[in-house]
Amino acid sequence: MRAVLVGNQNCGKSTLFNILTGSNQKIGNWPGVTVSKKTGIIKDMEIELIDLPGIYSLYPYSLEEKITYGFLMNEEYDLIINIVDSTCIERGLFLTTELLELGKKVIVVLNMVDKLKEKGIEIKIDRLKENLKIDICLVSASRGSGIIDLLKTIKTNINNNLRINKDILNRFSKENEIVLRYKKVDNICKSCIRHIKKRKEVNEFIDKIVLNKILAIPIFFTIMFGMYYISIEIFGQIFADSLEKIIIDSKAFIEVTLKQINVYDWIISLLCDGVITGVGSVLSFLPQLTVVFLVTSFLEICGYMARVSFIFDKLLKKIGLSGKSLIPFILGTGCSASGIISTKIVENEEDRITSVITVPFIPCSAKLPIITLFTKYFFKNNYALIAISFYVLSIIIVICSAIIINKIILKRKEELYVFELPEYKFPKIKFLYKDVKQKILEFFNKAGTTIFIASLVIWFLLSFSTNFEYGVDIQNSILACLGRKISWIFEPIIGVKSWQASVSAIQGIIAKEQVISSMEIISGLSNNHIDTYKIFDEIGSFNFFNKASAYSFVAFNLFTAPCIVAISAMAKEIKNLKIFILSVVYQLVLGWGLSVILYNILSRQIF
Amino acid sequence: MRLSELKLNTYAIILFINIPNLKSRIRILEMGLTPGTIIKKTKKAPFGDPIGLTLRGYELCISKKETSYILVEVIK
Repeated sequence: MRAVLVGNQNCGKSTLFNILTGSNQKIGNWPGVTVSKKTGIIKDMEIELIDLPGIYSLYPYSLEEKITYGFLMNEEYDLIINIVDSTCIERGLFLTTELLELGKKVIVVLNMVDKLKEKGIEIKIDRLKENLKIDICLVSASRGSGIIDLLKTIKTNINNNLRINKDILNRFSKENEIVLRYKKVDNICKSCIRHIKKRKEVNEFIDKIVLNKILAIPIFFTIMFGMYYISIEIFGQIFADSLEKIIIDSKAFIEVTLKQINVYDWIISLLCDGVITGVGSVLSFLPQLTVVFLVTSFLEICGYMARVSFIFDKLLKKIGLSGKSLIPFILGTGCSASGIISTKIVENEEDRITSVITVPFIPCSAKLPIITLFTKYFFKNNYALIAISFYVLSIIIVICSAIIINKIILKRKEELYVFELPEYKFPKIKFLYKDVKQKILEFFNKAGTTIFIASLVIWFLLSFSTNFEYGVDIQNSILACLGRKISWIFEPIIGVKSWQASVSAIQGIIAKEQVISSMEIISGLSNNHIDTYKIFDEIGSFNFFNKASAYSFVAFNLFTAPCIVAISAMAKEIKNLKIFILSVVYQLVLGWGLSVILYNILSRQIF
Repeated sequence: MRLSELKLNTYAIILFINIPNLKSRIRILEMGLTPGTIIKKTKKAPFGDPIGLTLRGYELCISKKETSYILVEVIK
């Protein structure tokens, strides 16, 4: 038996879904698209529950609504559980009356009943039941009340003998039908709902400040700066320092202990440089991602995110992004992976995917040392200007990519701009905790394994020669051999065939910081970052770089596909394999193509 | 008058929805902006667009362009 959860956005559907299914949930994605599909089993019953994307009516407008509509019309299910926000019932019942005409069994769940008293709304349930002729449950998903009654109602109503009445479908899209339907809903509400007192104006007060012409943008940037600072500077730093200490200590411990019992060198290296380093690189992202999940979750539940949309949509819609996309971009200046993950807050799928693909083009903090190293050496006093030019270039690339993705690939036409501004509410700590915990585990489960395996692979390629001899110089390693074989790919960017540059760029796949570390190791320098500039000197391993190739090489590292953590985040957010592969290919091609063009232009100029 | 011309914090009743695009028109109606509905213009974004309205117990944001196609009459 199967039931579906249908209702408007913002009516507490996900909370109810979580309560009904507990931990028996599975999150996948709807076939062919990037929208997540939540299915679960209702506790203690053998009933499958599917959480369908929020809809306002049975006339699908957006991508997500088309999914719900398609499912309701074409798939097998035995009960429609229609959730309605009881504090906003005049609009919610519109969908309810349409669902009732479909022909399948429907029950209505009035959610957020705990708020009715404070809003001075009184609903005569019996009269409503008479009018609609179906079972109605009163529930507060956030408080967990009314659930037992709901479970009983589900059990008694589920019926697999009813079929969809497909003839009525055209009626849903006729204008006069819609107006008549609302008149009907109005009549029902008049007889069943009473407003005892006027609605409180707390929301209006907060919005007056938060959306004030002068204060809105400063308040936004203060919140953003706060989130950024707390996540990356404070938590990130504290955690990074303790993590580094743990890593150094455990590496030393293992080295000493295993050397004593004469374990092979390569096994010691595997454990230290491979496993521990790999685990360390995964864990190093933990603090900032936790804070990103926490703060974006909090802001979304409390309702502030909708206000961000309200402020910035006009500006960003012009290039096919949502106002909320601004947040991933700002977070992306610190860490691309954080930025990509925060795109969860963008509800419009097409805006969201565009954001996911374009966020990595903004230089993250790990790419900054690459910019500094090359620009300081080659452009001396003008290095700041050149460095800024990369940021300007990144914004141009983001805008152009967004326009390409929207106009050419997705072929989006001008869409109607209309959305609901939810009321402010204070998130329940328990729910926030569960939500963040689930997201962290999800991310590290999939991404963690990928990152870990990738680190091991690179360790292997660097530590062994092609004869599988351990402990060779980097120029004899398998990676260097690989670098030589593919150095032709980088030749159009830097003007020469160099395995050193190829290897360094490849190591950037693990983490962009590793590009510089790799260049230092190849040059035989220690990791203290003091003499790094020497690699470009006449006797250095990278003496073939000039201004043009330096700029182009930096451009390649900045604008090609991001590090593996960010790529894992992309995979997780895009969900659809085909689109994910296309996105990464797009980034690779753009990074390569752009730097080739740059090199060709710059090497002919005064540069 | 057009909804776009309505002053902030005034109540009005919807007379007519004149949006040229059929899909948009249907959508607007489905969100509850039907002739005869009482609305209140509550907010305007810092850049002037979009605007916020309260109706049927909730708050709706809509772009200024669409509001120029909606005819309303001010009420007390």
